[in-house]
Amino acid sequence: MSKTLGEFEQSVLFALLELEREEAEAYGVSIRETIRRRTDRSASTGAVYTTLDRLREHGLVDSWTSEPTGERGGRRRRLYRLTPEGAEALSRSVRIFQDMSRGLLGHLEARAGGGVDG
Amino acid sequence: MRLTRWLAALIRGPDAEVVRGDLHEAWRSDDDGSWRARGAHLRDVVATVAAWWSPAAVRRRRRLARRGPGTNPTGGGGGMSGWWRDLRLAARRARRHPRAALMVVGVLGLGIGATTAVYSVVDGVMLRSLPYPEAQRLVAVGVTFPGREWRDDAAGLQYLAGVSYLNFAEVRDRARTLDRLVGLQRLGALIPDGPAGPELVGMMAVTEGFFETLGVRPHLGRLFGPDDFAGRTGSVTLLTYGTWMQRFGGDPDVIGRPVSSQGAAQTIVGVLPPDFQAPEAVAGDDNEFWVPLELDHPRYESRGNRSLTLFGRLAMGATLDEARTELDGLAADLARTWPDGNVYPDGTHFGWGANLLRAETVGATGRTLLIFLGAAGLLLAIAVLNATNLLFVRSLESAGDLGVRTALGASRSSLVRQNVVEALVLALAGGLLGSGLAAASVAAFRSLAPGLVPRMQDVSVDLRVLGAAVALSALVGVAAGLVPALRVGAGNVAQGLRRSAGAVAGGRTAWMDGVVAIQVALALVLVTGGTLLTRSFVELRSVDPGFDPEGLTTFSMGTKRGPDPEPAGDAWMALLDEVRAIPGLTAVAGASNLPYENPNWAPSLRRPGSAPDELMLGNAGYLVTPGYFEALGIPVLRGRGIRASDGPDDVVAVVVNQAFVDTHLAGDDPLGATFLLGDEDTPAQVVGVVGNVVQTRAEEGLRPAVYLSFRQGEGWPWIRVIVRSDREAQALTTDLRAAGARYAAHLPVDRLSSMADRMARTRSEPRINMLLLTGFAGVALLLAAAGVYATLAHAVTLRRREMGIRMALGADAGAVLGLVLRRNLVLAVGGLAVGLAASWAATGVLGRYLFEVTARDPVSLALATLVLAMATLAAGLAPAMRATRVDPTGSLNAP
Repeated sequence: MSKTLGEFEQSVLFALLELEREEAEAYGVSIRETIRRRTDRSASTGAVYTTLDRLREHGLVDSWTSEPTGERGGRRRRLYRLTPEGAEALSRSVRIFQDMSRGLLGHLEARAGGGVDG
Repeated sequence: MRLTRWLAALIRGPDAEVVRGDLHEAWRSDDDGSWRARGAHLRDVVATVAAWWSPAAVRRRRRLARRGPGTNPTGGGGGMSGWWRDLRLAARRARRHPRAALMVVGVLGLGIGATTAVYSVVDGVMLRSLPYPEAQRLVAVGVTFPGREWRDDAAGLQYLAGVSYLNFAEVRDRARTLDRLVGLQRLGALIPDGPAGPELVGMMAVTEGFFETLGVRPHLGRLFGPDDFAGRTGSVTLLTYGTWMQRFGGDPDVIGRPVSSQGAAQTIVGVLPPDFQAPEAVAGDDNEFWVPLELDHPRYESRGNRSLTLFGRLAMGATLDEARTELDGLAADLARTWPDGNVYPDGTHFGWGANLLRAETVGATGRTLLIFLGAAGLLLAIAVLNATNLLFVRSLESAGDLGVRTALGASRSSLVRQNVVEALVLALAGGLLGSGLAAASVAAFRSLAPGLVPRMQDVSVDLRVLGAAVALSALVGVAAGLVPALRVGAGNVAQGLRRSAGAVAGGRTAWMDGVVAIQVALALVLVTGGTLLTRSFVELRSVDPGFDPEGLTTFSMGTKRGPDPEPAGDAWMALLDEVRAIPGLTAVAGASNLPYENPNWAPSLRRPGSAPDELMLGNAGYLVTPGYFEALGIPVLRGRGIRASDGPDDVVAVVVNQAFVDTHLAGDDPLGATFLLGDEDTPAQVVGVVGNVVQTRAEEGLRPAVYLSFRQGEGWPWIRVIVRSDREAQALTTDLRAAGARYAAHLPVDRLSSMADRMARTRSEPRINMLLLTGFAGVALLLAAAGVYATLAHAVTLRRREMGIRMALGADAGAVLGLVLRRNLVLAVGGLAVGLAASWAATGVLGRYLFEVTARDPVSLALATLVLAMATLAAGLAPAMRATRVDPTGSLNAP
């Protein structure tokens, strides 16, 4: 896997990672909720599923359906989990980010804030 | 919201229920009754439906559906799935860094393999009990010589020699500490019609109760009964299982059939079981026929004819020491009652002694094996340290990954687990490789050293040791995997991230340096040992044999107790005439014994006019034919050699060697000196002096020898024939066999081999010792060098930045090179200093295996140190060169 991850793909993978650590079930709602809580941005359930399907196709996440639960009117859930490949791809993305941004974040902040002359 | 429900119904397909469930659940948790929430929900549903039916999503769903449903890994217990994932991850990492993984596996495999192989041999030979019921009560019994009672003081082993039948019978009947005492005597059986002509095979004569003492039951027929020993049944014989299969095709009707050997017919009464093993210490393992000892032979009537080997069983509750004390008393009794044959001329008498049969079997081999066990242990230690370092470096270099993963929220336990699993996988692979190596080495050792190590048939790869070695490597794996993971796991994520390219503080590299230095030190001990044995072996090979072995071929004809009529003494001369008829021989001669062979004869000599007990002892006696010295190239220093005219009726002519002159005749003119020879005081006169020749083995030094004419030694029952020729070996052998057959068709041409081979065989034990230890030393050297390389390479990676700065500030490549090499030197010097001290202490155990070299030979020590120093510095060269190629600008941006 040498494909680079898109921004939203990264967000979904991070969400899966967090849910895994919290030992919480990772499914559409909880993933979307995690992204919303962390980034203060709301994504549609459809976007989450589209991304999850894409990640699944690339082997970066695993999924399976749970038994029906009463709280959603007897409907099943599809649960997701980060695969080792997924963890690796994410780790690589983060590394690229770190390598590229090292020593530049201060400068970037200044530029993004518009404070630098020119 | 009816609208959203209606819209959501547009989501169709296999997973539609799941998505609708999610939308429903999200709505229930977000619904606070506000329009804002309703609006958000509606937008979500619309976007979801749109995304659901986008062409790309439809195609992807189709592709995913073809792939089948996902698995639910948590279904079978979450723990397992984690381990499984870690295993897969470990395998993937091993594939990604195959060199590092292979190194760990190889290093551990070598250490485990060597240790397991050697320990298996030690266990089979020394630790396992002999394959007989209550084997711990079996003892070897024999005569001890005054002043030479102990073979090996430290091991409590007595020097045991043969016993006369009459003394045996008396001790057997009187000893209370021994339940049973049996004797055996090795005889040769001559098979006249073997597949390749006449054949000499081993035949063992035993006294009553032999098989019962060992708890043997017959495979077929019966064992011996009292009547067989009383001579009431006629001659009977037992076959070993192998003989029964090979010579008689396993025919069950063989019982009652006659076999002829020794010219007399014997009746087969039984077949021994397939697992029957005669105690090696007393019987050897090549006896095909077993017969009752027949007492009507004159040799059993003299107490001086000590031809029986004895072993017995301690009485219940009796100890070895009690048996020794009792036997000592019985020996004194025998000397008092039967001085003839039991008492030396000087009044001292033979003692009696006993050893546990196992100790007797293992003998001095035990100490040698323990040394190799020690060497293998050192190798395992080096391998384990090496693997620890490799795994450690590997873990540290993946600390970056770990840091990132920690930052991403991976739990500490999962990180530790992953590291440990990876290390474990490598360690176990090493164990697997090691067991393969061990099995191969044991097989190789068996074929390499047949007859050299006792009980080799009991040796097999020991599973317990293998298990222990694998467990040890697993432990190493866990430890080496745990430390780095715990460090990162300890929470210092930021640090872990900063180190993600491999920056590690000095403390840990110091630890690694220590581990490498210890490896260098241990390797030096092995290399010194290997150097010592090699130097000793070179010395041994360069010993001047005293004759020219090049082009000499020898064979033997005749037996100690062959059939009648058998040639003897003068009659053998006709054989030499047959051999001389072979074309292309430059010399032909005969002798009673050859160099590099135990001389069977030690004639007693004394000066005329001396008292009868003033014997000159310790002379090897040889009967030789005319031309013997010329044929072997032994220089005649003074006088003459043996001549054809030295016949049976002349005054006995004696040729002595230089050692004899130095030992017995210092200052006197040897030529013309006279002696009284043998019990009959036959007068003999020295007619010549020849150079010294190695007798049994090179390390024995120079011993006095006397040579007499073969024709004057009456009735000598065998002859060794020596020919010198530059003909091709195969054709020569054929001609020699044919000549032997022309001379006596019923006698085998025996022990046909070149002199060079015969000499090499006497060196096979030191050779194997040398090969084994240098093998260990070589592997240790490699491992130590690899350890140095790995550590320095890692250090260079870590200090890339520092070196970059130095070079940016104007340091030239030489300075950076020096920086790395200095570290290398510190490692080497530290390790070597410790190693020198350790070698000094450890090589003392090799003393008894060394020839012309002392255990603390400074040359060997210096040589070993030099070799190791060079290997260590060479190993550091590559990383040092790499350091000089550091790109200053690139490295400054590195962490």
